[in-house]
Amino acid sequence: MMNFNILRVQFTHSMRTFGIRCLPSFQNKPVLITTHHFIKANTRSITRLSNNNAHKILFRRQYNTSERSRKSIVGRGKTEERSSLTIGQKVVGAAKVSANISIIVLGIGVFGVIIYFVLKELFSPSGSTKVFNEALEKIRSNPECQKILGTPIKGHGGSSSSGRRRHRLVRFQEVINTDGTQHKLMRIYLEGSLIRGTALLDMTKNNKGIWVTKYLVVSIPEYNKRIFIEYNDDINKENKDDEKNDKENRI
Amino acid sequence: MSRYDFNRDPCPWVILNDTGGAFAMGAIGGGIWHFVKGAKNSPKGERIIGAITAVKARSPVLGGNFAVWGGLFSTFDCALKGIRQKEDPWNLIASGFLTGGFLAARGGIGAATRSACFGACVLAIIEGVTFATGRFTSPPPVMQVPDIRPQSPNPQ
Repeated sequence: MMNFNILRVQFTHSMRTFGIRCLPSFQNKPVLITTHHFIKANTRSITRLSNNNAHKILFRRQYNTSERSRKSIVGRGKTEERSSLTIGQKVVGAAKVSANISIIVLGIGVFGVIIYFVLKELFSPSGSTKVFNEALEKIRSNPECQKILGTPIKGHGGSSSSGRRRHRLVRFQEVINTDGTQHKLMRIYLEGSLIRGTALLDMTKNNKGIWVTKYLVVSIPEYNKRIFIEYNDDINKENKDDEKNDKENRI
Repeated sequence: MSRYDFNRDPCPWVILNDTGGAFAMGAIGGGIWHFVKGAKNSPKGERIIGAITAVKARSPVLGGNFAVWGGLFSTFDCALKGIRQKEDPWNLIASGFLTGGFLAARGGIGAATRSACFGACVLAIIEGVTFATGRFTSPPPVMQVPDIRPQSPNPQ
């Protein structure tokens, strides 16, 4: 028994000198595990045999851990019963749950807005991608443009002056005209095999609230030339025709 | 250089630029990430050494992964620009799709498809974020819209 006591003292001593870090490696050794079991069985006899501080520490540690685990079991039982909570605890719990739910809802909302913008810009007929593709097709199929610019015509939106935008994507520039009407401008930079040019597209709302192209014009600055690909003098013309037809039908 | 695209490299060179930019982004971001992670996972008293070791070991790897992604993305983007002769968001989404699929090709068709869809979704979301920020940050300015008219009343 005395031999064993010396061993214990050395063990605790080494634990102290090496610090907490060494504990797991000690515990993994089978020899020490057996001593640990022995202590569990005979803690009382050891404390009686020697009044060493190390044993007290060991004993206390073991006692504390068992106490802690018992406490945690009781605590878990308490939290499961909602009726036994105080009002303050209930308020705190409700606030936590509602905060979590609001964060989730906010995230879903932001994601929804982003998805809306993606779908709108990519697929809707008045979205910039579709308008750009249609306008570029019109320019490419125009014989005068083909002749002057040279046949493979590249189209892109220019890089911004600060150079921050990495991709030269085409975007609408939404402006309000000085007479108060909404306009969407689109500038397409064209690169033919012979010469460069820019196309300007102006869209505005007609009196039915539909976006209508007012003009699509290709300007070639080096020849000081403008090619009109599309020009609507009166954006409400189609609507007037419809109204005329309606009147004729009524008559 | 022409006056239309200053500040920007033409297409084959932009791949190098993008690869380097992606490497720097991955290395810096990975450096911060692995510094914190290394400090958290090292024992007390050796936190700084552990953090530096983790950064030295891991952040160049992450930077390399980013560089592969960015370089391949830029390559596909340039190829699509050359084929389609125009630049629109579909180029970006398609090159994200192709990059994701290409990098996961060794995992089989299923893994490649999943990764490709993930890449396309990431690029689509980035596009959506740029559209949304462009919409919400700048209100439409009031200006005189250029009123261009043809000389003859009826063109063509």
